[in-house]
Amino acid sequence: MKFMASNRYLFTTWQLTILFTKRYFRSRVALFFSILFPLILLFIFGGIFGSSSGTSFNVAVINQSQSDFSKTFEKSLKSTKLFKVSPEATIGAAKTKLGKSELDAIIVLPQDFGAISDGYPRGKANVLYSESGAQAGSAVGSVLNGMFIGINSQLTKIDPPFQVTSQSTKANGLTSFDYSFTGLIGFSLLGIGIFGPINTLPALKKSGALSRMRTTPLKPLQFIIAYMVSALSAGFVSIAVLFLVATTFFHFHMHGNFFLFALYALFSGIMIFGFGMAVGGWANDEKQSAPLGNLVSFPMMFLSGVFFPRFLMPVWLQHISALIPLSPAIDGLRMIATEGKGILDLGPQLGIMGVWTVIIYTIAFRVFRWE
Amino acid sequence: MSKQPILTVTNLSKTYDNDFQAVKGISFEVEQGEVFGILGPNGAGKTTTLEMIEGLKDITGGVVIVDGINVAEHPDKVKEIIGVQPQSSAFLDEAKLTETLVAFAAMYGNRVDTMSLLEKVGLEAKANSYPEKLSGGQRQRFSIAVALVHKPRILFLDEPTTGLDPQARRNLWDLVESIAKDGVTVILTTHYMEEAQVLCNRVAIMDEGKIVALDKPKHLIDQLLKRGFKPRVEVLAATLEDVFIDLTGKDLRE
Repeated sequence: MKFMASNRYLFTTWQLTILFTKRYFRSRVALFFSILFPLILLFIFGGIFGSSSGTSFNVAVINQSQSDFSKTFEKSLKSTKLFKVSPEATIGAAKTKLGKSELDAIIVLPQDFGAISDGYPRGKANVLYSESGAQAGSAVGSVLNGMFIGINSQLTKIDPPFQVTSQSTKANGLTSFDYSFTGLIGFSLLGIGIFGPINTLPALKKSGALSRMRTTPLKPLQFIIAYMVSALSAGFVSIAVLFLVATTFFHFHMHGNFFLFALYALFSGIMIFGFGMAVGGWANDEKQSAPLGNLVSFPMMFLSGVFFPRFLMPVWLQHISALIPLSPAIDGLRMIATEGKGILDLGPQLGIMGVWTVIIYTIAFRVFRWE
Repeated sequence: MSKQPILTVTNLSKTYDNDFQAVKGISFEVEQGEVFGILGPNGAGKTTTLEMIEGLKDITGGVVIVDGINVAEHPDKVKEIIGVQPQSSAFLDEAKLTETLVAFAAMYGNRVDTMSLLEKVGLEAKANSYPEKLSGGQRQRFSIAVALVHKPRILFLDEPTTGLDPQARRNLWDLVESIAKDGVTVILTTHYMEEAQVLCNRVAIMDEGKIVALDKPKHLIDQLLKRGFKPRVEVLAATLEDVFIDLTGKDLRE
């Protein structure tokens, strides 16, 4: 069965794509790095950020007073979410724990705490903290102060003229997990787009599997496209699984358009794959691909916002790292997912990615070698 | 033979960048339907010659015409009508034999009846195996099947039996003979003189980039004897390999 020239070109590419995709999903190593590994990281990230729905301090409460007020106050300390009260009975035991940094502070309610004089219960609570935990200690002090201000105004029925109100940004539904999630997608893109080709291609060259294809009329571009599509389909599965787990287990909030997010992830994947293809397609063996692959992937891994958001970097570094190929990919995905941005807001990111895509595929196509 | 030549090599030479001249102006013709052998020690230039004919290596000097097509001008057109089994044949791992055949056929824009092709090389039972699970002989036979996916007019086999045990080697000879019977021209290189004697209609003996002799095996032997050659040892009516095959049988061990 023969085909017209253009049909034949597509037929060849398509059949090769099918073969590569089947192989991909059979390869345990490939599946581990593209799907399982990002998933493990997701659970680690989710575990870290998911549990920290708010800050809390580990404290011990030593109540030396017998007054009713002190007992009520101790109860309210135990019920506030800001404190995790550990059940130390003696001040000595508590101090030992404080020394080992297992406690942030010890709250001591002295004997006369809550004793009534001039019609009101009065007292001074002591906060003990270690030299190394000064910040946490003063924070615990401030929290107690806040509680006392509330109690004081209730007792005296005087409305204090100045007050502070604070609100968490969680009000708009964003958690730190939401921010870190798009970084994880960036990591998955790195695994599929770079680590995959830089390991696989030199191995296939070494075995002679690629030079065998060269004896046929197959064109390098057909090979590159087929490999890319198979890698992207694995990427699609990887990101879909990450998405599913993130929404189910970690309450990930998607603010933007799903379709735009998928499309943007696809474009990011195509761009990143170009780097893996350039390195893996050029390298004759692992000795060439490993150092070059690290050189290409390390800046992306550490400066593009995979493990921590770029906005936490010093400003000068933000300007530089904005140009690293993976940065606009992760930034754009984050803007879509957490801020609900549309395609028109992503101009600068798309611009940088477009330039990189043209550059890297030009290089990849020129340096590709079958053996 | 009065058949048309399907391959004409004229004054072919190859000089590498480091000025090493691997092939030094060789000329020969191969007729359609022939089994043609290129013999020679390692480094004689056999593989380089094949790769230039196959359009895989640039030709430094001379002309190669395959079925009327100039290889240097249209390497891609030549690839359409030739099947190539390289010296070391490897395939994508974790891809079934049938899947590999389908993909290779697609590289020529063809679809292929994978089972009949696997039957031809005696691997129908391995259709769903991966190439890395095959024995050496099976792998060589599969490699030949891959080279046949597009029904080529010429089949190139570069040292097809190197490293195989005697049973697997003889089995491959049968396969090559059956392919030749189908009308495919076969050009092969080998170290094994017995193999050339059994399989090849004509052989070219290469040494240091030149063809030092080209004729039917029988004629070359006759010429040698005419020059007064006497074997150093008494010629036995059978060889040690005959003993080996007699004792262990012709059945494939895989």
